Amino acid sequence: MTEKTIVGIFDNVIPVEIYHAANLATVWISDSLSNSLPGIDYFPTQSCLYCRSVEKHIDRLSASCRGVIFANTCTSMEKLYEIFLRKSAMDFVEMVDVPKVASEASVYFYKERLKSLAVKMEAQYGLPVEKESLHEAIKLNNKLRNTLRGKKLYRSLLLKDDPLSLSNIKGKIGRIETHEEKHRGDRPRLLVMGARIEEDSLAKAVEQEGACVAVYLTDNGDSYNSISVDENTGDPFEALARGYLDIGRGRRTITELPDIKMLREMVVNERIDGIVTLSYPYCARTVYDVAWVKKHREWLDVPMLNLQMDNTGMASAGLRNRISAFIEMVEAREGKYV
Amino acid sequence: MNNTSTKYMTKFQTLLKFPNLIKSKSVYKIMQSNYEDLRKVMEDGESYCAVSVFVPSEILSALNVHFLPLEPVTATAFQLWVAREVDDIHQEMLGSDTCCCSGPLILALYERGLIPLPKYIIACSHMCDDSLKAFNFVSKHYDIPIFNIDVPYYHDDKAISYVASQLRDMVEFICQLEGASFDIDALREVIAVSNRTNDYRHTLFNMTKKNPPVFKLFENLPLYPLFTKFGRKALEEIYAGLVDEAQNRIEEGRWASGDGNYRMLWLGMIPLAYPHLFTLLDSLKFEFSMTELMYHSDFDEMDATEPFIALSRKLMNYPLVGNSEKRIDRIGKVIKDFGIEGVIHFNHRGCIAFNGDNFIASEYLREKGIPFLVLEGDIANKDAGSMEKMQEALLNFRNVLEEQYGRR
Repeated sequence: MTEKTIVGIFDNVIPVEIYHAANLATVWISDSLSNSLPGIDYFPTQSCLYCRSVEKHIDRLSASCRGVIFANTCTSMEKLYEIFLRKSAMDFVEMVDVPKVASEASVYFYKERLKSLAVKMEAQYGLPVEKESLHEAIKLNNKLRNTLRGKKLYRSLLLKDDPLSLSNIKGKIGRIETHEEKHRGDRPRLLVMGARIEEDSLAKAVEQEGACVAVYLTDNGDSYNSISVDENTGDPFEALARGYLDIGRGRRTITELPDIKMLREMVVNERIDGIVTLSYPYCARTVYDVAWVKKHREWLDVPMLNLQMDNTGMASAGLRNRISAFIEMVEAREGKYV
Repeated sequence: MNNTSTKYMTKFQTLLKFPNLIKSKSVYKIMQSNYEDLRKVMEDGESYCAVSVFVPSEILSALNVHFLPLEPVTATAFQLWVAREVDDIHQEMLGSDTCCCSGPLILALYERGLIPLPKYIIACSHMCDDSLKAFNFVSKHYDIPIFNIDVPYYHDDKAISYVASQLRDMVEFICQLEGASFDIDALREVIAVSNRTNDYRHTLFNMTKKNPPVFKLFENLPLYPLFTKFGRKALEEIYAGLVDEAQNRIEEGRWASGDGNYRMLWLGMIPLAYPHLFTLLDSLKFEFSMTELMYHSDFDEMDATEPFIALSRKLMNYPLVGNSEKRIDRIGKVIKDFGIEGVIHFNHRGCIAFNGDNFIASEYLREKGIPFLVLEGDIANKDAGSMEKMQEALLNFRNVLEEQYGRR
């Protein structure tokens, strides 16, 4: 395989550094999948909307990626992996066994799993993961995320559908460093959080309707940007396991619920005027997370809007109307934007 | 206790006053034991540990912990309490009705004050995200200590050691909260009890391999959650009683079937919300020699010399842990051993753990030439599925079976 071999990644918990070290390019499989296409339904109708959308794209993804990597972050992802394993024409379809709890034992287990993955990549696919390359990949990916964080940009803005590899990452960092964000003006500042599906379209819709996304707590936003891998740990696999599991904060495991104290701090520090949450049907993670945030609505002390996605996408008039009405309400609340 | 929970306990107690209503003496004993577990919490105010169904009960028994598996508690409780309110509970608890009902029902147990709060919680990632989220929600909302058991997807030696180390940590967690000390020999003894109970279960399975089923599908229901109590001596006695009872029924020719019945396998959950379904299945001459809920918790003999490794293996070997191949292999084995002629899968709304394998099961069964039917609904909410549609599908399925096997 050449360097241009592209691997599709579904989850933030998968260390892309391992693939970059193996001279592969990674691409984030995230948005633009929500509008349901005609195709075979392997998933039952009453199940995760994201997985039901992705399964329709098996052929398209097979044409653009040589392989895909899943993580067992939820049962639906496990089932989606099995569908790809059986139905896609890719060279390799892998699942990374990610712990569902954040503890020292789970860091050790995850480290061993990542090492096994590297061994398998060399033995099965002839893609060695050299220690030096891994260190370099860790440094560069940290720098990329730091740069995005510093600029308050989110991954999809500059990297969407754009494969990332060791050879082009420096160029991308340079582009982000010189990127000048358009002046957002005096507009309502929203915190957007929740599901991955349509997250970018939601951000765009919010901006088009007259508000700005001040905090973006989604897979493409701060959840990605906040990953930090220790560059000085002797064992890079341990550093990756610890960094990606976010040990100490444990926010990336399904057993965790959103940290309300952290949200409140963000609301105050970032002068947030409203929170928009995004969930989709039959996704326990988003449904319970949103319910948890809603339970603390009074304490958070800002208006909230929950959008539950159907198959119509963010372009639907109904969703646009709700976003628009919410922004109007936020503007009128304290009168500061009127 | 509030009014609703008092009413529930009274209903439960009233039912137990009429043992003749429940044909099987062993099933009656199971219900008595379930009632007693709940009564201790509801009436005596005994503290308890709330667990999800696949938390190894052997450890809890060895430490003499009073525990309640919440999924079975909600399954039975909501039949008597609030079966008609499931949609409202979804909305009230989560603001959405698009997920499995088990989680919101667990939240409702506490939000509505139907049952006292647990002293602590132990949850297991097998077998679903919804219950894991619900248990963690309860823990965080009421500030109750929780221990989560993480069951990996692949089950190699590293995964077995990882789960075993978590089970050791679970013991420490309990000991700290209970002020108890742990005796590994007590755990070994409990594992021996669990093994013997499983032997009785195998005997019960074997009795119906080539024979008609001894118990009807509906009669079986109280047996399903029993695996949550493995390791208790009382359960061993109940299983011994079930085997005796089954033996007597066989000797007296009292099969739960009639001539020309179709030998069926039921996959997925059993929909308690549709009582008429059971009558319909009987009238269509579908006899359920085996159900997935019955054999899913089956296990190979555990090695008591290494109890944590043995319990870890037991947990990881369940057919729904990891790759679907394991589940499909087990389905194939049951079809062969029990001479199954048709398979019905009940798609419980939002249950991806079971429903997500349907396409694989369907391809496998097509290859084997076994007719396969999928029914859609909700185990607790009858409004989420149409009984009329199910009836129509079952009648058509019966025609398919008639055509295939030439029996009318």
